[in-house]
Amino acid sequence: MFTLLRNATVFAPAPLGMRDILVSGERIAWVGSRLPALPAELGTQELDLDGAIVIPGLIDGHAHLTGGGGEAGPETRVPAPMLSRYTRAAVTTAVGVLGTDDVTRTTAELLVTARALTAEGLSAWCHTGGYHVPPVTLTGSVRGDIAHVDRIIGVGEIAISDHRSSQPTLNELLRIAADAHVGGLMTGKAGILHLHVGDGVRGLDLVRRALDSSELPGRVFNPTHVNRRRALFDEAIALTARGCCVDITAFDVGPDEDAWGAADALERYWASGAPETRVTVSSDGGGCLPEFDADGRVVRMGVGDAGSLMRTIAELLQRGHAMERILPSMTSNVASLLRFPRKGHVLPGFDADLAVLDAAPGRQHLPRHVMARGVWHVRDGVPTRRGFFEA
Amino acid sequence: MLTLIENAEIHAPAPRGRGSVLLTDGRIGRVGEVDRSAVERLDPECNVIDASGCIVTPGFIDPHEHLLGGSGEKGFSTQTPMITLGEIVTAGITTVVGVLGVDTTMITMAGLLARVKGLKEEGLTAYLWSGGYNVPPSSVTQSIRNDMMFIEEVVGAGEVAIADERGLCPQVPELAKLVLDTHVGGMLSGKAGVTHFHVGEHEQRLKRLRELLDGDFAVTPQMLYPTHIARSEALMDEAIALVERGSFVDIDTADDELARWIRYYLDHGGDPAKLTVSSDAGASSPRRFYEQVCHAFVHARIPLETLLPFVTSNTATVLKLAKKGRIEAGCDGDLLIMDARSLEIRHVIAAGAHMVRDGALVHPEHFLETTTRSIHLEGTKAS
Repeated sequence: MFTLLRNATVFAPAPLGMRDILVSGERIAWVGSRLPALPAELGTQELDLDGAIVIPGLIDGHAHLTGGGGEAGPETRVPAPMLSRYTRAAVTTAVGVLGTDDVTRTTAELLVTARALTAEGLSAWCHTGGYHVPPVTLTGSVRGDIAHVDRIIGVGEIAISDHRSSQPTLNELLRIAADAHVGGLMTGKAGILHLHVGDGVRGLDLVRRALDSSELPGRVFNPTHVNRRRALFDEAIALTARGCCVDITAFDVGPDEDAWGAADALERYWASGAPETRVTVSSDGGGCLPEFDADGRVVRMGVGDAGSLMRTIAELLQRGHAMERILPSMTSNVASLLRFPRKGHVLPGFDADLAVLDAAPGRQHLPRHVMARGVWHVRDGVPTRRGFFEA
Repeated sequence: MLTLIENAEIHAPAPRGRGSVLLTDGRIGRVGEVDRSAVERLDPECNVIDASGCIVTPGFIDPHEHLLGGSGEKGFSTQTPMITLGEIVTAGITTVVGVLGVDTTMITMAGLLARVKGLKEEGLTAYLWSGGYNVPPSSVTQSIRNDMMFIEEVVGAGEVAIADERGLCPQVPELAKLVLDTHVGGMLSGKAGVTHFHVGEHEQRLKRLRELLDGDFAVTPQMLYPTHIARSEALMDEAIALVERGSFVDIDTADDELARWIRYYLDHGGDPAKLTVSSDAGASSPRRFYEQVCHAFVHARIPLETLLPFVTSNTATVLKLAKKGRIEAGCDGDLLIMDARSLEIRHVIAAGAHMVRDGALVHPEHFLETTTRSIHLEGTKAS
């Protein structure tokens, strides 16, 4: 019923210092100093963290819950990541998307996978649609899906400036964005258009034109992979002035690539003076990260992994950045954009999604303990709960 | 954060004697002995409710309400307005299942779903039956199965009309398809997947249900859940026989005869674990449901341990709501605190939130915050 964490160095993301945390059921009940001892009869588990850092569980706003891939043939369809792939990477909330393959992968499968992960203790939601236009939906419309289906929060990842896209027109994009926005108004859910941006030179041109020619607020347009090309990243930073939230993908970047790794991208974002609440980082976990040659053939295939978020945090800590500056891009900023009122903070009333970090050298990217909705999923670096079919 | 109910006669619904109930984060944390001072040390703002002289029971579950109001069978002006949060909660109902009836044309499933979601936002637990009277059913998506899988709040098909001129005369093979489609939807979504049947006044009574069970359809009694079974003794007899085969059955409180029909059911061998009671609110009211339950205890002297399961644990069982209908650690914090003799409602707690306090609704509907309207409507048949 109750879990008491003593002597935690809490980043809420704001630095709260040394605190005790009381978890009651699925929520954080209390964060403060010197909580009185709890009577044994109330069934409390106590854990002394000895000053270890506690952060909110990470929110991964772009994950291929069903597994993505398939761009190099059927054998390259990525299998669905199972529960502990998320939790051992300190990801306690994930938002699923369909990608290039929105034909053999379906919204129904994405929805049921989100429900399965949620039943297993994670918190999972999803966007309707996929790369292509018109978007694949359950009810026949984006707005209908958001209104009818509890776990559908927006539409994405609709592809622009990419050879794999449907080459959507401005009007098509506006119609989808408007449908998502109205769906969000009706339900209080995110109501965003999550955009996959490719390597095409048109970059974010369609988004600028959409904002110029409509009354839709900037927050509706949420481009991701914005760090895949350096010039694109500058466009993305500029868009934040118009209200857009931009999403960095934590993929590996080679030394000569015209791209920014997530750590570099965040540093450049902060240096630009753009609003720090309008940047997020996601993993593209379960998706494939193909590299194409000029003829559109796959020359290399990586797979996204939830662990890239913690590795980004560890990298930035090593570069001397403050935890409270790094965390919002993977916690509170995401919760705010996606309208998850009980996520992204270690504060009373919020869901008890927490990670206790490991300070040992070489292990900062691996959380020591992870709690999701009040239940331990990782203890001492080892998953204690596994998906139904995990080995 | 915490709510502590003390000095209550606990009916879980089985009588558990005097004790305390501790609620934490919307769930029942502990039942029995609770050290109040320990709780107050933990949470100085703990909501402590003294239930001396009262019983505490699980919140009532009403499996059949026309949440958007009733169909206008004498024309559009006879449609009734939507059921309000206040009507439901002041009747002690903390879980409700919405339904469409004969009108699935102008009153829609999408509208019903929106109302269900609205009640959930207010703090109640709400679900819906999909389809309405007609066969084929008016589902939201392509089928009841898909509705059950895509829409979290759909628990099964209903209310499918049989023995009723308004029911479009469904034939047994198409009924079998509907029942099995719903059943599969339930399996795949982990929900009830039962078909809730409206039984009309026609003398055919439960014949269609027997034909479903006795034909080659692989339909089992557990898939069938008829209501309005108290129209006549002949219908009750058929319902009791159906219960013997394994179905749950439901009596509505639209008439004033709940106690009479409960007695008839029990006296004629009806299994007390398989009977539920609903309000059929729309033309009737949730208030009448509560009053009929009170009357059955106070005047007809049906003991609480017999009566309470009909509106709590039995309903939770047929709807496969594992965390509802019982006062046990781990179950949802839906509780009623009522005067032990009159059953007057003192407090209603839904998902841990105190919605009725000292007899008064303290949680008014959200929409009232931004409107200049003042609504008071009283039916000529209101008590």
